[in-house]
Amino acid sequence: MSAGRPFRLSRRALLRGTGVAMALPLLDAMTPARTRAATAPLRFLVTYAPHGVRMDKWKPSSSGTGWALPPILTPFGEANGLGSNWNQYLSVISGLANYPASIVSGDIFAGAHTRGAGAFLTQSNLATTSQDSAIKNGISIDQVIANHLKALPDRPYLPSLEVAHVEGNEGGNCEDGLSCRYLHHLAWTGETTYLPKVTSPRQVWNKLFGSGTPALPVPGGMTPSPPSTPTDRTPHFERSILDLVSNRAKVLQAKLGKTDRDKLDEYFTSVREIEQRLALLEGSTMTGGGAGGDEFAFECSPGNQPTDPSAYPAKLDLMSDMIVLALACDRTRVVTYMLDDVFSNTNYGAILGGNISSNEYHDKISHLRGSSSNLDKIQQVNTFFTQRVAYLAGKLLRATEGGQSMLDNTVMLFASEFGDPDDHYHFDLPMLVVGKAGGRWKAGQHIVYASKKSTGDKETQRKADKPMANLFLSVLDAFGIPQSTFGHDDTGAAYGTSRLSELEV
Amino acid sequence: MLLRSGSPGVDARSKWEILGNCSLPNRRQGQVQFLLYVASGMVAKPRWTWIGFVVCTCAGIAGCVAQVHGGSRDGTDPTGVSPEDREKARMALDAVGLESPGRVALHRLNNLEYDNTIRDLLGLEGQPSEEFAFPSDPHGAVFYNDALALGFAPLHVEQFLAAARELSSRALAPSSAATRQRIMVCAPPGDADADVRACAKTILVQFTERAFRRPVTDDDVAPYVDLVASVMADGESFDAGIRFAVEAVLVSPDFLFRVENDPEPGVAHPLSSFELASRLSYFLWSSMPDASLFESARSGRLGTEDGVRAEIRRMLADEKASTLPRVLADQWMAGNELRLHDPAGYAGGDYAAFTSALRDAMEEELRLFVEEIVRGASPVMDLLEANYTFANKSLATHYGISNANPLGASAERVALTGESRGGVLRQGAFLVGTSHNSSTSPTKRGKWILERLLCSPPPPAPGNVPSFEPSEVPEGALRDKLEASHTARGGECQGCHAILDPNGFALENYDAIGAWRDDENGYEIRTDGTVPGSDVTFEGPADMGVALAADPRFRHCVAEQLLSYAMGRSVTSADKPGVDFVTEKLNASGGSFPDLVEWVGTSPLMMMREGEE
Repeated sequence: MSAGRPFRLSRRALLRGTGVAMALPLLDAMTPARTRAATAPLRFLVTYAPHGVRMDKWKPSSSGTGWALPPILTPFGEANGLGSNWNQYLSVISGLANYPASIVSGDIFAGAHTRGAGAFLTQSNLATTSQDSAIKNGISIDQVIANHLKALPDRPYLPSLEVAHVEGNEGGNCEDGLSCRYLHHLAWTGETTYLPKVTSPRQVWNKLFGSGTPALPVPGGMTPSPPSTPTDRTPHFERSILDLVSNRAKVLQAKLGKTDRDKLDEYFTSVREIEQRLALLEGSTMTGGGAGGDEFAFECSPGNQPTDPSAYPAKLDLMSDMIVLALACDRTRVVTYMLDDVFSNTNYGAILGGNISSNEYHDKISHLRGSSSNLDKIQQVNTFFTQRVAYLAGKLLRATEGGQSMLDNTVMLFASEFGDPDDHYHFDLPMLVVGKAGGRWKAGQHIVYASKKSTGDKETQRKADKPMANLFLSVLDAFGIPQSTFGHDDTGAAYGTSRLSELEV
Repeated sequence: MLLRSGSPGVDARSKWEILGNCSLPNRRQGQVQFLLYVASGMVAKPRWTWIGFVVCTCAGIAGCVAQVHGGSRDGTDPTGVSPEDREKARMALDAVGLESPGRVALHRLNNLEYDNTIRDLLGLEGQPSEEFAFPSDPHGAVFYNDALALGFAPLHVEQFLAAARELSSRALAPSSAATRQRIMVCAPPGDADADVRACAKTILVQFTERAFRRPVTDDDVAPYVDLVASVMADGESFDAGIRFAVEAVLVSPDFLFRVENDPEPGVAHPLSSFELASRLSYFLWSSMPDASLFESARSGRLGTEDGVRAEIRRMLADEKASTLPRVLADQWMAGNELRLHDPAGYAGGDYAAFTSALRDAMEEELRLFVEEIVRGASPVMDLLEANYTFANKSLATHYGISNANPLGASAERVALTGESRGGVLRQGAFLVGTSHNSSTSPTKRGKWILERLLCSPPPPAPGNVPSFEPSEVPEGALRDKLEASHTARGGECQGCHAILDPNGFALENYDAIGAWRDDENGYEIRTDGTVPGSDVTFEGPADMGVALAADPRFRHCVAEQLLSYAMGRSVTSADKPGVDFVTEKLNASGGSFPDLVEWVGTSPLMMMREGEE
């Protein structure tokens, strides 16, 4: 994607460019559309990579400011990352704990990956079950923000975007009797409802800019049909359709028992959400003519529908491009991005070479197993992921809006489900903050909270760690969402009760 | 209720018994783990069979818990508890309703069901779920059709809407005469609103009855007819109106969900014949009912057990029933586990013989084998004891078996003479699917058998499992090393692995890619053992298969798995009488799989439903 000038797009060009014959909704980029706020919107972006981080090569050597980039974070200082600007945007927070992942059942190790990932953004206890039908979690921080944005008069097209390298469809029991749904999903809209992820950059593009049919050959021998009649009224009629079926759902509701009503409510809520999105598209058509003007110019260049690369690292970077596009075009302001998955069995030997052999998957080298060479290997994998995140951050840095960098108006986190890979602790987690939260947060810091590594298995010695839920309260502060606690245990007691004052300006 | 079978010796006393005690020392705060047993045999002298393991919070169960029966996981010995307390526990559990047919939650079509239903409803071939990138399906305990697990997110609506838009266009395209004629059963004689509406109604009554899988009312159809009219009022053609209406039908809840009504909350009632027709067709075909099944529902033939039985036999013989063995092979047997093993990860290693071609041959073997059992009237016991398999030349070579006629590239039925092969546990799919890339895993193999074939899931693994360090134990076969390691660590390790490993040890003659080996790098392979949870001993893989086939838990588990799949929900302890019912019929009927399918299809759990407030 080339760095664009403020962009106007003709419908015809878009149709030509994609080769998509279906009717396309009119896009914001085609018309001045809705009036923008005078200041850029704030975005929340979570990036995640599995299996923990080699902490001695992750942590800056000193606290406060003025530290040098530690080895695993060096990609941020490179030219396609943040270059010499890195210290204006990066903060490392040490000594945070994912308490709900750690203290359930009093055994801090059980289901370390699954609890770590499942409770990461919810900071709530997970029900111990391997059956997808019995899962229970809490609402995640990204969805709290998405709900807030949805209620705004200038809500973005997508309340949130969930993307990942792999979708993950393993059997019920992923780890120690815990459902795979926890492991594979960071975004939870409620106790039992999680948001599925999109794993193809091409599909993300479609989701953002087109409602067309896939232009690529399809499996299963389904022959592409002749183009349907193009009609600009499709979004209008589809709104009628969704209105019709949500009325059907209401009629059905009355006849059903409670469990069924709950299931149907998931349908109803989802249909309503899409209805509202279509209304936005229609609204932008009708506004037209530049009324109000764009006080805030976005450099939004959708370009053409991309083709998914077959190679893994290239796919990750294209996914990052799509994320930047989504934010630059203000199609969404909340993104969760899983760069890989505990069970993906990605062949890092093929990607990174060096001492990593072809059958050494991430999990295999993330445990020491008495071999210090594994430390070097896990560091290589960690650095591979920070390269990807640095690339994404670099693109955000270079994307400008109203004379500012988009990264100025972003809260981006990078973390893993635990810290030191060998011990699978949910204490002293790696947490990288990128961006300035619209000037609300101090960047360039290494904030260190006390965390004492214990040799026993009693988590009581680890209570010194700061709850990660507190970080999320600071995030909510930045978004102007009044909430005094975040996350909860089985009794309803909150994990997060105060802000990280060191972070906020 | 008709759930009780009343056969002597296996009666109310074969209930679950929770054993454990909150006051026992345990390392998990606020929780205690309970071994579950079931009593069988004579009432006066019951035989207790270990069937499962649960974790309960002390607060919830403190009042009724009695005793640890047998060894607990952490090696604690049973402590004495009074008979009165035990009786109290039993009575508390007896009080739990055991005679309900249960209820299946509102059931969203899963991806396979959506694809097959589109095929049968619109006449379009293909896999829309892949083409339109539907989110993948979550799982229940084993199967992907658990109604409670199948959720709905905005992404589903986006993808269903995109699919409906395109599929309705394809079905109605002027170039697709066959699919178009199915829907366009009339043409309006003129542009008058009444003419248009009358024809639209004719088209949409016929279409929605099939799409909603039940008779429809005027109220059901009216909004779709209105939609046609409003599209036309906007200047579009009648064709466009019908296309939008079809698109609407394909995203409506009546289509995307299988709806079962609850006329009387809290009361068990027989399903309506149309609801039952859908249960049967999604069980056997993963698709909607066909015209003949709809007719049976309409005529009342599905109101009798014989009528249902006749439909099941007809449907099993239909080509569409080939989806059932495929689902069972992939999701219940180890087809999906096999596919998680990428041959690329074997290249250059000790097991480089595991190529894509060999993996495909193993997958085909399992599918043809399960197909033979499910639809070929073979005994259920063949799953463990068959004296035949399906192999092509390279798989037969890999197995070291030969056939009377020379084999080629495609799989053929092969009669087995020796004991090295026979049944799923001696097939590549399971043996590779439960191994690591570079070594076997007796634990994974043993755990799979406990979960999938005995429905006796092992206790969850404790946290902080220390990694197995080969350097700590003396040289020897893998079994020697694992046993030495577990003995050295004792406690929890030993307790669990005594349950997990024995069945896996019996299969150590099969290496990580399922080839036979007489020894392990020169070390003797010991394959003797005892089936966990019973006192039946075995010598070697074939003997272990015989022991499992004779274990009453096996047939019970087969019934349980098939019931769970048929209903689209997990089977709980409350369903035990319903599972017993099918198991007993299976035992009495001689044990062919089609018989089992009939008993599942006509069981109270399938034909009834309890209402909910």
